[in-house]
Amino acid sequence: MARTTIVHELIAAADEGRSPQFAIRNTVRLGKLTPLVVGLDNGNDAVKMAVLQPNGVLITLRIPTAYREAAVIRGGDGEVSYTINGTTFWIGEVALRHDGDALPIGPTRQRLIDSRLRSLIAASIGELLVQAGYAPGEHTIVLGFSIPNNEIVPLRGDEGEDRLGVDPETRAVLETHVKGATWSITRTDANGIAQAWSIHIAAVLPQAQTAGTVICTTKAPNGATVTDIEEMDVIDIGGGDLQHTQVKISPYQMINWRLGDGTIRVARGLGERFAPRLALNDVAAQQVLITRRMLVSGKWRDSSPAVRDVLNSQGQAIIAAVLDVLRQSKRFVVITGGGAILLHDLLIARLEAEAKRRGEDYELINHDIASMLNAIGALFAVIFRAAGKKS
Amino acid sequence: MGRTTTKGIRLTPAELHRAARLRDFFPEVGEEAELHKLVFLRGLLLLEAEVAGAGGGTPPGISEAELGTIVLPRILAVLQLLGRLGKIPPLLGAGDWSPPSLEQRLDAPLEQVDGAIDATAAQDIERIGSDFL
Repeated sequence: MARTTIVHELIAAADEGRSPQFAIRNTVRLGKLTPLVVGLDNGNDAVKMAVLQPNGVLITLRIPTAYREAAVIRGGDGEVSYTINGTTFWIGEVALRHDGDALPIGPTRQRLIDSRLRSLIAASIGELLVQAGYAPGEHTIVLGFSIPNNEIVPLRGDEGEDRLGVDPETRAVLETHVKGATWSITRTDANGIAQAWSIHIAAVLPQAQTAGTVICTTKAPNGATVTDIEEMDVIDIGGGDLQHTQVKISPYQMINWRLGDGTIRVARGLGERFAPRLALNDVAAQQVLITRRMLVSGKWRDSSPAVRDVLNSQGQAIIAAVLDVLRQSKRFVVITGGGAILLHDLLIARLEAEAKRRGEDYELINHDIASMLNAIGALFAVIFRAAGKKS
Repeated sequence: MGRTTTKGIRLTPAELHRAARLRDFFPEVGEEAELHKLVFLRGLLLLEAEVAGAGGGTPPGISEAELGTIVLPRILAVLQLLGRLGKIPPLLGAGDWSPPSLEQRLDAPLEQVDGAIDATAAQDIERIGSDFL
């Protein structure tokens, strides 16, 4: 793989223990506006987001898709809470700590009609801006929005040409609930200090989730295609879905198949082990897979042995589903998604057994990058696409 | 909520203006009366903590530990102001109490960067089905 792609900077930064940085502007020009660019991967298990600081430093954030209306805490430290339209709520790990709800999974058109998910998305974007050091107040955003691969479909253009585009039902729900939305958010931190944020979504660029990975692995930060690879297979082991995408680079073409469930099958296996004593919803179980610990009778317990067991069973089932792709020699293989981190050792063992060479035959995206690539790619997709829009 | 009683107090225009200014920080507060109730309760909490600190006991049903826990976040917020003014005595420790600014969080200088984008990039994005709604 060429050394100047976006993913190479991400890996180099992770290896050197620094934040990745790109010589790219954090805003784009859309008509008379210069909105801030945010990439967002609306995953079933977590919202993943990316934004650039003014100096090009990339900030990413992952928030589990859990929601709970906030209660008054009588003692101890407060929790970070958000208020939108008079409802105060917790999200992510805070919500999980207080037995929050895992929000429904499914296609975008079903998920976005749930106001809790929309509030979670709004609060998550606000939290991303906080983490990136942006000041409270009004922010105009253009949102790169990752959607399931199967929601990018063949369409007929205005002049009768065949082209790819967003599924009409997905488009409708994004236009109704996201594009043009203005979210007024009060963020109250653990010390009770409140800040007011107003986030306006000026424009939305939906794209297939795996397209983010393709962009990051084939393009330089300035948008030039710099890889010498002509064809590749991308295996995206996500929280909800296991996706296989065949990609041609010049010109860009993508064909996608959903092979089955993603790491949620491993998470559910873990949940079944502890039921009925512990009731772990899907998002909570996914968090246990990542953190390797769980709260039992008021104490944090190491759950590594249980996680290892379910990985050896359910994880092997995921690898079996993609074995044909791993074995073929015609195309370069990129393995990414949160599941690539979870199943790293099992994948490496299988690839070595197939005599595959890392860097030559495949790349296994590691560190914490694998779960963020689609969101990072969505951010760059906005920057690249906006460059082609006439002012 | 239990039975409530209306009590009137006289406030100057300046005091009303100071209270009204706080509304921006509590958008979930609706009417002016709700804002004034918030101001009253926060002040009551602080006074109760002052009295407890001076050995005057706590309101019925609340222990010193509970009162201390509830008032702590308010005190921490005030300490941020005092810290910036250099008013924290050595007993409480020295250090920068101000929240980290964007500049302090950065690994590199804050200069806005502005790189040119390759002419083929926009078309590649459109080709894989992605365009602005």
